[in-house]
Amino acid sequence: MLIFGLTFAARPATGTDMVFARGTSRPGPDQAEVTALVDRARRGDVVAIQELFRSHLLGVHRIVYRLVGPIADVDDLVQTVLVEAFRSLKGFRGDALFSTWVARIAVRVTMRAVKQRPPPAASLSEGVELPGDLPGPERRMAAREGLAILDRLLAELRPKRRAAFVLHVLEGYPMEEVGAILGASTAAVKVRVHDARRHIERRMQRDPELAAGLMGEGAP
Amino acid sequence: VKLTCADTEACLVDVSDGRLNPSLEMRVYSHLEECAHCRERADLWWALVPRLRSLSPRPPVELGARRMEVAVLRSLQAHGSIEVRPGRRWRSAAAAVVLVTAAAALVLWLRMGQPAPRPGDGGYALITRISGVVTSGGQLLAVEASLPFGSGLEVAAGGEAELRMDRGTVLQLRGPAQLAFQGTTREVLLRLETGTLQAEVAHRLPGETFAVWVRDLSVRVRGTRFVVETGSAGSAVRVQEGSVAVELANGSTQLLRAGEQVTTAPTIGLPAPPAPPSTSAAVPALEVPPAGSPPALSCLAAVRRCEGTAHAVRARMRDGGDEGALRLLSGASRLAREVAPACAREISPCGDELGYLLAEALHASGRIDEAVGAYVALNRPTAPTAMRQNALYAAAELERRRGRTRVARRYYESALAVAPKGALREEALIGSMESASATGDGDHAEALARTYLFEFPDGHANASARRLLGAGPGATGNGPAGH
Repeated sequence: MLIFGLTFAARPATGTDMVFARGTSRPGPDQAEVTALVDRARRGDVVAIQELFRSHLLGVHRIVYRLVGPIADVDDLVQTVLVEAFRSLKGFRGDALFSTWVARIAVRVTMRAVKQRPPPAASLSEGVELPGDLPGPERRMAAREGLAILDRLLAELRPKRRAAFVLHVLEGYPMEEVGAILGASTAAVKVRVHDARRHIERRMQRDPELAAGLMGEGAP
Repeated sequence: VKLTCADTEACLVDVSDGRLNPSLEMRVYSHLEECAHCRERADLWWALVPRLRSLSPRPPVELGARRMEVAVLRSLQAHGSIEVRPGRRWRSAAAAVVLVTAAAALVLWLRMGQPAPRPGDGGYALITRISGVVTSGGQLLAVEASLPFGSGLEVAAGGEAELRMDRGTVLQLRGPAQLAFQGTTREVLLRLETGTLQAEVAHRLPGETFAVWVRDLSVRVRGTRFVVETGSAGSAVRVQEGSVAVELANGSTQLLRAGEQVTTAPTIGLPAPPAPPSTSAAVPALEVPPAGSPPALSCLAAVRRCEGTAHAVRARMRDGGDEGALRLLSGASRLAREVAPACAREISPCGDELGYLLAEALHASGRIDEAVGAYVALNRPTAPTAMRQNALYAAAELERRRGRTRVARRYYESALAVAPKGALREEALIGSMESASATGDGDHAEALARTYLFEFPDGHANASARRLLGAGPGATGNGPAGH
């Protein structure tokens, strides 16, 4: 089904709330449509809730996964995030993009869970979603290893650095939005992202194999 | 003003995402031209960022996403923080049906010379309250959804739906249940395939009828309050107010008055009405004194208390009070000890329902091990097959989500075996197929994929099934080979 091919917005330069289908150019709901959907969802329109659910599921899943790593509870956390988001829709004032607001809830719920039970170290057994067409087995293996390395590196970061790095570098949120999501100043976010970058650079320098795996070198 | 190294580094992602204004972007590039250290860092991160972003985790599978969607909607409905109403598409569809019905009524009126039905008599049942999963034709229903004649309604185990029909008739359907709306506005016919239906029927005008059909009897009324329950073991009708005519399968008709009941199987018993039961009960199945030592509770009182507990537990769970629900259920276990063995058959349906509610409450409270145990405990021969399938499927889902694929596979296959034509067949088949594949049993996974494509040619997991078979989009199943 097409709806499950939707991915969260790679943050667009225009500041709109676009959601794109993976591997297609079909746009998802734009900002005006999202606003209309949120209004309808607030009034209890099931179809609008479903539309918002489908267009934000993958984004929430990706943020949660990157904050906790490959644990069995990822789906439960994603579900908790979406339930919490829809339950508190009346509190959404429209000051930020809806996706930013949902991301804020995702980070809050996930950080709360991380505090209660720190995630285990990353596992090499997790599968990955590859971009593009059907990859060959070597490329698939390289991507799987790359994700496992990334999971491990993220797990080495302190939670606040990890959140800032994930939101800015991997999810593409501007520093200011990351600050709003994390409840921190933009300056603090810059420092956290900087520290996370340094940690990853040091690890890559110390371990050329890790660097090659992360860069996907050796894959066809 | 020239940028510092720190400022430049903070802009690297914004540059690669094309988010910087031209003036700032120019300053970033100016700094990079002058600073070899930052240029090296920019090259690294501009190469690294797209690569890291491409390493997305595997997204939830289609079915998992669908299940999550249903769970989120259920949670919103149960919480009541958002009053879930039917969406625009639903209303449009309903409006279209209203127009068609109105047109048909006009034609009838013109032909028969009789007054057309009033707008309020449009032949719909309107859902006024929902607890648990309630569907029609596979679509999840919400409060205020309207159901035209000819449609059906399914209530999952542990769920309840309340509906209103014309002139104030109220129906309460307790899951697991299946009900079909047939007949016309003037000649209402409800076909109860399984489950318990409580009806409070508004007085019918001359020439109007209201009937409930179950597999082995039918109930005809003019205006009354009664309960019908049917299952594989038989059926039962209890009248709470007014009177009804019950036609049995052998052609005989029995007139039942308030407080009376009739059953077609000794294992079926209905909860008593709130008022003291009449002493003239036609078939006092629940009031037979048990043999042997006198029980602490009569069967009737035990069933009443059990029903009351189930009602209270459902209400707690609707309000999100899962711990409170568990406390109530803990009290119910004391009740079980007070029930005489001779009442076991009478109290069994309610006991099963409490068992299901216990499993759901444990699940909602995050006590997954205990929830799985409670679900699996419901897989006993005396429990309704639909409930057994629901419970096994729920256990399989919980095990799958915590990565215990082999155990999950066993439960999926049990869910298929216990009710081969059950409502969850498609989901259980997909679960079996995916878990067989995940545990390396490729042959069995392929056999299941063929079965799936054969039985559900338009199913939502077709793509997965075809992938398992290594076939193109045009592949079709060839029947349940080897399964």
